[in-house]
Amino acid sequence: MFGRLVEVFDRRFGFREDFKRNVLDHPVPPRINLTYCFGGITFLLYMLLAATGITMLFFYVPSVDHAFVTVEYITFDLPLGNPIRAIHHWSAQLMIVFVSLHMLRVFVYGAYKNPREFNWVTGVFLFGITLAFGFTGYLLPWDQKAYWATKVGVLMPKSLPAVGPFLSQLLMGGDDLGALTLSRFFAIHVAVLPIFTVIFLAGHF
Amino acid sequence: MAEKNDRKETLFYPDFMFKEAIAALIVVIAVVAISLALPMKVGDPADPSDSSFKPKPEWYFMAPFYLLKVFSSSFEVIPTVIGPLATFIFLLILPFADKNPEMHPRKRKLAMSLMGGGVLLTILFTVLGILA
Repeated sequence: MFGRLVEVFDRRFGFREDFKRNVLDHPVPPRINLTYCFGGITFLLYMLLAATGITMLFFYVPSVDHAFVTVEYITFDLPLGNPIRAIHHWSAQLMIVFVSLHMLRVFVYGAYKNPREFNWVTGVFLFGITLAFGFTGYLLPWDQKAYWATKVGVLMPKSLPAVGPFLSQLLMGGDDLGALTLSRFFAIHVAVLPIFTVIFLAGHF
Repeated sequence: MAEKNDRKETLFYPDFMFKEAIAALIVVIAVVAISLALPMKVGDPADPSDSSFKPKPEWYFMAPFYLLKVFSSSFEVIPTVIGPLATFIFLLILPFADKNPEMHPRKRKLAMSLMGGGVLLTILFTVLGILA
């Protein structure tokens, strides 16, 4: 059944040869070790984050009145809600660790050099995207530590002369951290950043 | 395609994929184990009027957060904007700025000491921030 489906698509797109040549038969350095897995592990953690994140999207409501209570519901009442949220949380922590280890590995081995400069540059953007995921996700439970830690973060650009206050206002969606901040952090976290991740990942592999 | 394999190159499949699969399995088991051992809790609901709350960011934002407290307010633009921005730009231009064709870390003293110094400082400020 699956074989037939592959057959049909292969006749139309001829991807089998490409897949074999570009993925399976892709040459790798002769002495690979486990540190080469850091990038793959990062990608795996991203997949776990996407799966658990989408699951929580079914129950989380991104408004000032509902964010906290829906997170409370996911955490304590929803069957399997706690492990799903915990896997999201711990995968996120580990993803930061493995992105950093992956970058350090690539740096130490000099693997960012010609002809792979572009892989490094897209990787730096992916690193920034990962941090942005962490920053925006931290606010979503809308509890005390989320609110006040994010407040420190969004006020940081304010110290920049001239454009600083405007940048802070842009992040918050107003003069203070509130309903609009939650909405835009939610939109950035679940829609904007995943799209940019896919775009930069396509250029990174 | 077949003659390609005769050269005995190391190929993604099966050489690397096997290692990757094992690493993936270990990580998934570890994440699930940690998640079951340390279940999630919730804090108190956000209260914008209660500014007495002492915020702590995630550990990976601790370094700039710590420096923000160290620098006096007239220089706070250094940890808040200049530092992170400079790090980002440094990383972006790294492959173009580093013209040294050597790959081995021992033959790249400048690059290795710059990166090593940066990493050590980041770890230092992170630890100081967590202890503070």
